[in-house]
Amino acid sequence: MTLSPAVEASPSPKGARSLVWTVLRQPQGAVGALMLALVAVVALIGPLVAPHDIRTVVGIPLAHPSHAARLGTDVLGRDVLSRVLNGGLTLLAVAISATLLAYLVGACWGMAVSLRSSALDVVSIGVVDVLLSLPPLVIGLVLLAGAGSGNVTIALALAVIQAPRVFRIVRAASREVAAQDFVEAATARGDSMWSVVRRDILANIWTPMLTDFGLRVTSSVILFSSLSFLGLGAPPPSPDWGQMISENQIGIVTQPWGVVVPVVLIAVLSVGTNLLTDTFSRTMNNGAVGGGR
Amino acid sequence: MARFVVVRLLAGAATMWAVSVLLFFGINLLPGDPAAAALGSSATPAQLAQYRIEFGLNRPITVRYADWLGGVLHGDLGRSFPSGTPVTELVGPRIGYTALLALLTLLVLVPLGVSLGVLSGTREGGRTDRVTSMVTLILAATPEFVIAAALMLLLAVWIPIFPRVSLIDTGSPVGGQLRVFVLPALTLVAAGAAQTCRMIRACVIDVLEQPYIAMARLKGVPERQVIWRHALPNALGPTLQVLAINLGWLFGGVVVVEAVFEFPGVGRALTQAVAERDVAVVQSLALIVTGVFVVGSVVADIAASVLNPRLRRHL
Repeated sequence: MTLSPAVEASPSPKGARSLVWTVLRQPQGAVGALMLALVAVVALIGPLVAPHDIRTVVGIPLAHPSHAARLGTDVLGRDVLSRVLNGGLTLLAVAISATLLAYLVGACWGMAVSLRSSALDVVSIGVVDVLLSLPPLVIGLVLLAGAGSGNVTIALALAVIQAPRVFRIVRAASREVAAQDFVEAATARGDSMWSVVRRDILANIWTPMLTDFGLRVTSSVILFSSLSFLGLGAPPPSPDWGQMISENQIGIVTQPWGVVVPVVLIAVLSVGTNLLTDTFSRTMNNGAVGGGR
Repeated sequence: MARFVVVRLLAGAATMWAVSVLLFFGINLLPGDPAAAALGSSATPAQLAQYRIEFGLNRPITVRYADWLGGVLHGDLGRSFPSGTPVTELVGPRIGYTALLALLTLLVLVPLGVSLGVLSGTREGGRTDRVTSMVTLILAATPEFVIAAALMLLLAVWIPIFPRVSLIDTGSPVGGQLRVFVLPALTLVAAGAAQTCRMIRACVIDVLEQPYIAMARLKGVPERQVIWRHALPNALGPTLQVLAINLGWLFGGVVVVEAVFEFPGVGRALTQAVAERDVAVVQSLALIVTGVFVVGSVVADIAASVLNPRLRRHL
């Protein structure tokens, strides 16, 4: 990721607003934002408008769509539509809180190390290299095997997976900034480390960090739904899209909707985020941000 | 050169050791009781104590770690907690099936991903590049189980060409049963080739922006020769490293794909062991999988430095 345009860009709110507009005016960015908004609406409003309870059996198992169950019933005879509408909130909540936690740890650690390059830096790189040599899903599986399943465990596992990756990106980005003259000047005039981090480093790396944050949320969503697809997610009655796919896969021939709808929603969410973040980083790299300077 | 190889090998070995510590202590220090998980909630304290003695769980954790690591180094992966079956016996044939699946996948994935990446990187901004970039962006963003479910719907349910589940008859030779490998391999190819193509494209573009390429072009070297003689040999090293990185992601895909198609491989053994809280199997399998990944990246680094002597100075 090239950082120079972001470093030059003024971090004023006006610059931020014009960056958002530049991104949304491009077809790819607009489509991405729309896809993201669609899934967010389903996940957030869904639980309020679901016609049935997620546990109630409304018909025979794997029934075709009817007036009572618009998307048919699932493998136990529950309403697919209601379960779809209830299945997004946990997914998003776990993925976003895990990413926030990973950022809290990884970004603080990365910025601290970039300002005080010393033995700590060498040790951190070593630790991070070892953590990165473990395939992500393996970390998740190992932690779940040791601690048992549950949404909190999964969120922590996702944070453990993401934190070293956040560290790498933030460290690289803030090292580039820390080498600039204005940081040296700030340090020379006796600004505290906190003030340097907030006023000089963070102000200059927030755009690449935002792009990365979007990608991390998506990959957390994918990992979370993969784990619940593997049957290792939260205990059964609470639905989420990954789990629905694995439950209803047996009936895919007779009643595909229990699989197709959650599949489409997860795909729309992650493709949408990727389209949006891709447009973001391209806009930043092209320096096409108008009016900000 | 020899010094670089030795240092890189030692670094790989050190990583493996650190990984073994992390895996063993990570899994065994977490608040979960393997004895209770194996025997169920109805077990009496006496039964639990008996079980802990039988599996050596009452010993200090450092002793258990040394015992486990010593066993692994001698090819003994320990015993499965609930059943007492040796782990090697449990996963032996599965390793073969997963290795074959990975091999078939890589045979298609590598040429496809690399050639698409080069094609689109050398035509940056052109129509081929824009179409490839869009398709690979979408495929790389789609979770493996989504691709798997889509392929299953398409090629096993609506147009039933391939079997929906990959059941392998252990009695007859695998060579005659390659049909069951098609859908799992196709899923992994779709997900992996997209990822690989995007990274290779970035490598190629990066190389093409180097001053010596501009120099060659200004000198009047034909474009074809610029790409084949000057750019691609220099993009080969980073390409190998990209492939090694994707190996780790590929394994995550393998776990998911094996679950979708009920493929009897290492990934499913690992998932089942996690569901049963079978700590002994999980730690050994996780170590093997990570080992393959670490070996892959060491080999890639050494190969890259053979191709590009300048890399040997960075370490």
